[in-house]
Amino acid sequence: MKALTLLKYHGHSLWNWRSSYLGRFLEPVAYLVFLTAGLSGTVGGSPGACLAYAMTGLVCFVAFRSATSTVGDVANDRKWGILAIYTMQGGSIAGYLLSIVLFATAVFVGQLAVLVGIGSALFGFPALGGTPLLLACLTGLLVLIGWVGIGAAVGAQVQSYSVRDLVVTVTALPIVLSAPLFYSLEAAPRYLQTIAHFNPLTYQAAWLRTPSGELGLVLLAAGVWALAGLAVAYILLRRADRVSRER
Amino acid sequence: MPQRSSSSTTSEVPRLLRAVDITKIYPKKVDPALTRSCLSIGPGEIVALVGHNGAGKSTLLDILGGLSRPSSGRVDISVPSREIGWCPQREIVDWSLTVEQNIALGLELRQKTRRAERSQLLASIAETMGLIPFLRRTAETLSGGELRRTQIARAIAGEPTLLLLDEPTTGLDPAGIDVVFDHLERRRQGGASAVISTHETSRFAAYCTRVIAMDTGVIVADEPAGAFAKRGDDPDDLWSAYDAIRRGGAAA
Repeated sequence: MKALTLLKYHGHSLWNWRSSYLGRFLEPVAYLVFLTAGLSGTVGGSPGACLAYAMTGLVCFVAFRSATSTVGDVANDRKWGILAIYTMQGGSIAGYLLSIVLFATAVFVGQLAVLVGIGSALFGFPALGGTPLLLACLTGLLVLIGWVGIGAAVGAQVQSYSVRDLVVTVTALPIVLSAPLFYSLEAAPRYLQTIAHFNPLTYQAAWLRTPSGELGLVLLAAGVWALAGLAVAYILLRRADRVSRER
Repeated sequence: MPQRSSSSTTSEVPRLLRAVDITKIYPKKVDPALTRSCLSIGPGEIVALVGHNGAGKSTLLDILGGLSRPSSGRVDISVPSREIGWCPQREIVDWSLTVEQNIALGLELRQKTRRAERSQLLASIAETMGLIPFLRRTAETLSGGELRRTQIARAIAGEPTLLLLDEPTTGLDPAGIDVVFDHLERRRQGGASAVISTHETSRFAAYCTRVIAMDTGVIVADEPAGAFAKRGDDPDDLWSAYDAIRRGGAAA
């Protein structure tokens, strides 16, 4: 299957450039160790509850960050002729998208394994959320797929590095900071709460914090999100030139 | 003014590729990059695509390879898509992969091979292209000529039936150019075909069997290499004939 062949070479790419990928594994750990742990010491209530709350937000954050990574991965595949060669040799756009999603999923699982491993060693697994956290990771996988789709769509359409950089910079930080990922926004200013209503991460964080009894409904909503992201990516990748003029 | 020629091919010969009335208009551009271009490629043909920068050669090759859609017209390809090898004009390789992985990617997407057979094929291609010392190096560490050889190796890996090569010799030294042209000649004798855009018009004159000349998006000549070369003052240089066509406005 050509998609798996491509996935293998995405893996080679990761290994060859492992030093640049290292940041993707260290960033969530840094958020956990410095931001989340620091915040949990400054707010009232049980420190464990705060850590568990922020941990689900962190899963959401990692899923969202895969969108920005995918923008770069797809742009590179178009710039370096990989998408062109893949489709020229009979590979389909759906297959290409599958290889991107599988690669992002593998990285996501690795990121969470490192995060939970180090977090458990520092704070204990129950303090991170225990078993419900694993269910949240399952939902997080669907959230990730949707974001990978959005990232692939942007990578398919934007031809310029400067525009792509602008899109990522302008959207990434506001999206992360205007969602209740690491702390509740109940006491936040009204304008921030209003912005949060329009932020997908707000709802996705809520899905991950929903009690396991309502998991079916949450998985349905996350599944719809994932399919919507993939559909947008598929349509825009089909329309995109197979090789970009970008240098 | 130069006029568009009709294809010099006949319908009796099986075609690997046929393009009919291809027009390409890029957004925000007034003049079309290609205007009602027709051509067909049969087995065992080495076709030189000659023309000035901006004549439409790369656009035509991209459309023939399915990388870009024509604004109108159609391309029919009778070989399986995996039987097409592509070498783009720019140095387009995966910078995060090694030379060996770049070539292997082209090979593996083209055909399923066992690991031992794949290693043997890779070694053979790398030796042909003088890439053995660079196999383990990532593309980011290569010189322009080494990158170009990697691209060509990726295109010819698995010996596809139809090669679309956009200025493959740019950045190669004379020995490297001869290696590429000799390989094409050997493949031609085996029935493979190639469409090659090149500015190596004197060196390539001895290798190509047919010439398609382009000017401002229009095919102005499409004929056997011998007949084309006779149009110019220097029969050993295709560019001489191309210049003569442009000066005289003669169409094939």
